[in-house]
Amino acid sequence: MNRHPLVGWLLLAPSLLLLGGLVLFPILYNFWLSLYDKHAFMPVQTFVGLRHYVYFASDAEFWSSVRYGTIYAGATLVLQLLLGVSAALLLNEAFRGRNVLRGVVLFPYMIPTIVAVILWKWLLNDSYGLVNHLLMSVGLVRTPVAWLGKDHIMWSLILTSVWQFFPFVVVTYLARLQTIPPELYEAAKVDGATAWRRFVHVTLPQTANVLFVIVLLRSIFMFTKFDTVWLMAGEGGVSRYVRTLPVYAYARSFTYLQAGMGAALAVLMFLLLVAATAIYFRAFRDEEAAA
Amino acid sequence: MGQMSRRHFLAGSVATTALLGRAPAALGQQVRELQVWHTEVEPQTVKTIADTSIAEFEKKFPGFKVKQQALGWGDLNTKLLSALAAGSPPDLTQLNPFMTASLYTKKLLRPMDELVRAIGEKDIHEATLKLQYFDGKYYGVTHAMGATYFAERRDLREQKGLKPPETYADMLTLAAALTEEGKRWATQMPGEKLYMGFVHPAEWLAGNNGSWVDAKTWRPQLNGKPMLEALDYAQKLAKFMPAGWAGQKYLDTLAALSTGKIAMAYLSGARTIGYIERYAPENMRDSDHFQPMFRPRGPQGRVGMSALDGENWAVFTQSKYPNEAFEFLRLFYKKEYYLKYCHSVPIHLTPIFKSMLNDPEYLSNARIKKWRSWHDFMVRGLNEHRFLPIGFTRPEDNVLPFLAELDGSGIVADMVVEVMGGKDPKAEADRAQKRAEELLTQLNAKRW
Amino acid sequence: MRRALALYTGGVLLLVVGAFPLAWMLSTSLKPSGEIFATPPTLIPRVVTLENFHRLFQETNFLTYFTNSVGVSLATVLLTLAVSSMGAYALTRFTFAGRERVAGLILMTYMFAPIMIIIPFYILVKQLGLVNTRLALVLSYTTFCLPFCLWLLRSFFHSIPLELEEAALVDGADLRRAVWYVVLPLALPGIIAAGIFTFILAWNDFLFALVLITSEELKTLPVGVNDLFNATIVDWGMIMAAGVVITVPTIAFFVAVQRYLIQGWGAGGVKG
Repeated sequence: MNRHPLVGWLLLAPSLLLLGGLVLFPILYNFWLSLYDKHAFMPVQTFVGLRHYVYFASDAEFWSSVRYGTIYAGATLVLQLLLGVSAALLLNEAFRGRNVLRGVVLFPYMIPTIVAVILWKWLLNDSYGLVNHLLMSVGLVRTPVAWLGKDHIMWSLILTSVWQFFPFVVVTYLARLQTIPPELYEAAKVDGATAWRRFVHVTLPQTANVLFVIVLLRSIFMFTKFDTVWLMAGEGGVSRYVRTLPVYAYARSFTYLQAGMGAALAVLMFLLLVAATAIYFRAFRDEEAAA
Repeated sequence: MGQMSRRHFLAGSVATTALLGRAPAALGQQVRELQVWHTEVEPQTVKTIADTSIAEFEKKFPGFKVKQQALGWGDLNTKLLSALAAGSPPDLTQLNPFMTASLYTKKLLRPMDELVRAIGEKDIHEATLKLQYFDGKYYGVTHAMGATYFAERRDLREQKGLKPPETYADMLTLAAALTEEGKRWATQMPGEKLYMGFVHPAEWLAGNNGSWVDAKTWRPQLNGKPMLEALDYAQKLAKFMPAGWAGQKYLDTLAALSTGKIAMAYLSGARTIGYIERYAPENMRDSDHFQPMFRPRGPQGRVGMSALDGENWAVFTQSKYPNEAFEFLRLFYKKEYYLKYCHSVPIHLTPIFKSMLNDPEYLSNARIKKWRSWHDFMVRGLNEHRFLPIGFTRPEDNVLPFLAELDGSGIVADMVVEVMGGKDPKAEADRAQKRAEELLTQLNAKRW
Repeated sequence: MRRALALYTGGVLLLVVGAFPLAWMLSTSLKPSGEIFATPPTLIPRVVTLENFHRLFQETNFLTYFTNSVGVSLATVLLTLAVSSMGAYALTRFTFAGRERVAGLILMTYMFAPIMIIIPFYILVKQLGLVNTRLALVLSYTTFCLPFCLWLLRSFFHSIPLELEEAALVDGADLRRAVWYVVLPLALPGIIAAGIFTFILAWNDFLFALVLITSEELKTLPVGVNDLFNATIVDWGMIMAAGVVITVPTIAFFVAVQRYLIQGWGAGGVKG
């Protein structure tokens, strides 16, 4: 069987070319810039070595943003998984209207982020919002809840993000579900297994590797998420309550106008993710081998 | 399916994408483009500029096409940073005055004395003439002025028999009188970092004899008496605002005013008129119901101060076609064109020329006629020196090179939202002071 | 019977979660300005009007933005799928030194938030002379989607038993045919999933379109819609109308495409 390694490299070449050409340079530039003090307006910079890193190690804002970022990424990941996997399992079954439902479930994922954010900010508006109106009319609350105020903004943000991104988990997980040979389920049914047991003993093992990848990729995606957070509350009065690491990094570069410090934050964010991924791979070594 | 191989497929995709990219590039080869960026996004303003200044400019300079880009301030800021980093800023742009000093100190701007003299230096209103005057030269000229103030439901206040408030205490009394539990709140401040963390604190300081930093040493004064008194006032006023105010935007407050949810919009300019005419009940769309109102002064202030909105045009040292940029500005300020420009969003775009403020031709615009009291209010405010450019606590703040960074950091916004949420003003102010000192040190602006 | 009940309850819940905000958006787009801020809010408009849609198409360049977005997104999908399926195939079916290391490096590029590389990226694009072209957008989006698609497709290719291709090769097919007729159909659901992800990323991107494009004629939807928020008066009705116009055709498209996610494509090809 002739699978010449060179052919492998050739097939991989376009990907490497694009990534190397368009992404590697900016990333390396970022690493380089983090060692300098540079004002965002100026084309000049002064070398300061690791000073920015030392500063951030004891910067309360930095640690606060890591905390917020982890809460946000963790909560949205777990909820996306729960909702996404359940929906995928549901949509894997045959019933009337399923095909339309498969299209409809993609809707949150499809609209531009700005429209999704506006839609939710309006639903959650304490004066005109439908959510408060419904909650009050069924008596669950007596006064309008300030969903977008400082006490609840993080949850509103998590809700909006989960709603916006869970369809992707649905699509990916459903795609994998569809390729599980039906005979496996038949065999289990013959053995007398209930739906739950079939899930645990057939579905989960079969989809373990795609779940591994989904969790990995989604966590990175949510931890580095910028636009939904920014549009929801980034420039607002309550921004400090959702100031995740990407938002803080953006702010340092674009609004504090300290480009070198912003670059350092991007590097720190990157290093945190590398560390987390390494731990993740170690913990799920088996799945990684199959993935 | 046939023998379509991967290679053909890939080639096809690349060809398609290449075609998509080629077409515009091929067309744009011969013509020189003058890049003009500004923040007046209204379609009718964009059209007016195209029909007047751009049309004549392109006739006078046949080799040129003018590319105007209208962007919100945040977006313009982002694009500008990328452009400056790449060494290719636009030829002409609008900037916020609090940012201009920062750019000037880094030698990124061109002087424009000739232009200012050509358009009538003596006719430009004092409130905006010397804002970009550094070291004996002009580095910017304001495109138009827009004053900000409270917009109140005048009928509601008069029903309670109260006069426009002059002091903090008056304002709190009025706010209490106008708030009806469950039905209406007295006022609402915009929950946006720029306003609650920069524009309004600057107004508080200006109206309470305070300032951002000490004039000589540039040491921040965020925990000084003027700021603490203002924070105390803000904390008390917050009780008369809807609970979720910090999560709502500036334009939301205008909608709230128009639909009767609040009695006074904290930040209002001529845009409010547009909202009133669109969303207020039909029988209330006039100045008997909606009126501007000056801000109250603090215990130590002379008079309450408001922000004057007015971006300045600027040309960069690195601009590709600076001379053409100045030629464009000459056309922009030509009386008949400038009049049309200001009329495209009446009152929001008030002319910078004293002669035009009383000019019958200017005043004959339909909207200005209907809402004449709003125009007069602004003129009165200008004459009584009640306005300062946004973010300024004193006229001399125009030379501070770190205001943009101070605003961008959100240090003051964080302090304000915590205090208005109930936390202790002194503790929050001390924390903000420390962060501000740190920031200024990092920016090499420490002189104390 | 209980199963059917559980299914339908689940279906209805999912419908509400996914579709209710859509219904709200549709409802608002059909209301006149006065009713939009009414308290209590009305789900079914008291007065139905098409004026918001009318204004959207008359007063803005919405159609231009829409066409640009469709073109750029489709081109991105084609390019990304072609490049990433080749790459993912290489990463799973070929053994060569450094394979896993390369896969790891690719994953690492995904860990850099795009927001942070926008400025050096702009400088790079400027050097290539591609500023203000749709090609620049296509290339950027492709590059951002590559790490994700490579890893996702890698996972799908892994789950397709090697024996299937081997069987085809034994039957006399060359590698290309084996891949095209045997492997791809099985991986099709994964490819479609990757395609959807890519499309959405290209469809939705705001920051890069804002910075890289300066001409009105080349603007994409997110930038165009964002402009609606910078107007003097935020026109809620028109914005919701824009949302409706953006989503309804795309939902229809996906309802059609989702058929290709179904099972039956070669499942059961390996006995025993």
